[in-house]
Amino acid sequence: MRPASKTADQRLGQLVRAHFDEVWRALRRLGVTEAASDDASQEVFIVAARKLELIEPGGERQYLYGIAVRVAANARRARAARREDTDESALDREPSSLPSSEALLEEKQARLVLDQVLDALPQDLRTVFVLFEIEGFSLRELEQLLHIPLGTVSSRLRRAREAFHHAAQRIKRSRLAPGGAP
Amino acid sequence: MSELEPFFDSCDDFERGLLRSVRTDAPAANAAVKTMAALGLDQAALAASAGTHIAAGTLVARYGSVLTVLKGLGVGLLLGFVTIGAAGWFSQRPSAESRHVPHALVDQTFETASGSAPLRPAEPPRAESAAAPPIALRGLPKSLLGAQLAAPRAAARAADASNSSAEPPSAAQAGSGALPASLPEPSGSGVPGPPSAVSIAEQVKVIDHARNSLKRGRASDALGSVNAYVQRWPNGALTIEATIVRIEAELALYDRPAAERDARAVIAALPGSRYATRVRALFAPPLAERDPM
Repeated sequence: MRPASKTADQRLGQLVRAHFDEVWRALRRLGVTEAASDDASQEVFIVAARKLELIEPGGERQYLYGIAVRVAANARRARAARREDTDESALDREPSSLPSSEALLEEKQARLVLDQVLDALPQDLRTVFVLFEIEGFSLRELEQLLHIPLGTVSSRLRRAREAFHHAAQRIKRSRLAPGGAP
Repeated sequence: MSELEPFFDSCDDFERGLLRSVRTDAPAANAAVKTMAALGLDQAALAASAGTHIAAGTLVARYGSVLTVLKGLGVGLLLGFVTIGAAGWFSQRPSAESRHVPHALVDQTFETASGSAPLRPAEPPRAESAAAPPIALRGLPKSLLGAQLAAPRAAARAADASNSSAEPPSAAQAGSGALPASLPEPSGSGVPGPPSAVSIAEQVKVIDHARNSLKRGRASDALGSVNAYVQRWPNGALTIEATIVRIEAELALYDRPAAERDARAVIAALPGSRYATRVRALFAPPLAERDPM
């Protein structure tokens, strides 16, 4: 698992330092539960450690996200296989009971709602949406990262945006409806 | 792709709020450190990968002697050990401001320069309560500390010597802010030296206890645990983590002046660090108050 040389160790250390947070965040938005996100992030970097020599300088971020997309897909499949999806999701998305300040509370609740919206998207659309709209990749980068034609990336993004709007508005209406979530 | 209009512009306030919310989402402070440990990267690798920053050298010099012992004690303690480097290590990581920031998520309400007063206008400072030891951030590398933050070591040692317990404070004890009677003798007193493996494990335990209390909505308990930690380990390796838990607890208890005071101490001590970013995020204005981007 470990790279053999000290130089490789240093590079791997730099990789973790520079990209851990954003990989963790991307995994969350790609559907990995909060409880599993630390382990999933760790898995991304363990895979990267094995492939370190294949990662071109300057291409680290893209490479890591490519791994993250696959790790997230595996995590979702494993979760579905355990038939624990509903319970875990419910736990993850349970609004915090912490009597937090308004700012904290709103930010956290907004993230919970965002994840609900993203959950409503088909996974292929979700992946493109998260990587483009939230993580800032370009369409060209996604073409390489996801190994799909550029036209497909564009098409998925358009559909993902529509699906996002639709899901967000549906949740917004349900929250505004009498008896809906605050 | 020219046919794709900027998405953010087509969103309403509700959707924008959802997208902005990812800005403050971040893993636990020690998550990356755990990954480093899982990858078998030791302190030497950490220091080397961090360049020649003085804090890295300080880190290795201070804790390097413990490494062998901790490795022998297993991964759990190793993680605890590695965690002690988090303050210095993260301070050298590229800050959130300097790393990639999604174009749609840039928060113009955050200051990105130095750590000077990015928070809301300060409210009148309140008198410090006896149950809340002042934040000194003494566990951080000296090079990162402002002189005003360095508390007298004599007082720290006195506090160190007066406490004892291996277990995190109970909820009742923590809630009262009093130091639990069961705290064990501190692992080190007098001249500060490398923390023992037991001490580090205990520190991790207390901070985890505080975090768990916070997650469960027991902010008072969390605050009590943090106070107990600061009193027991005035120069603790996890002082910065304790401080951030304290800020969150104070916000949860609607003690904004105290939270701002502690936040300013963190930002002044570690401007541009991940910690400073995280602290600023805690004070982000509610979504409804933000300017449209």
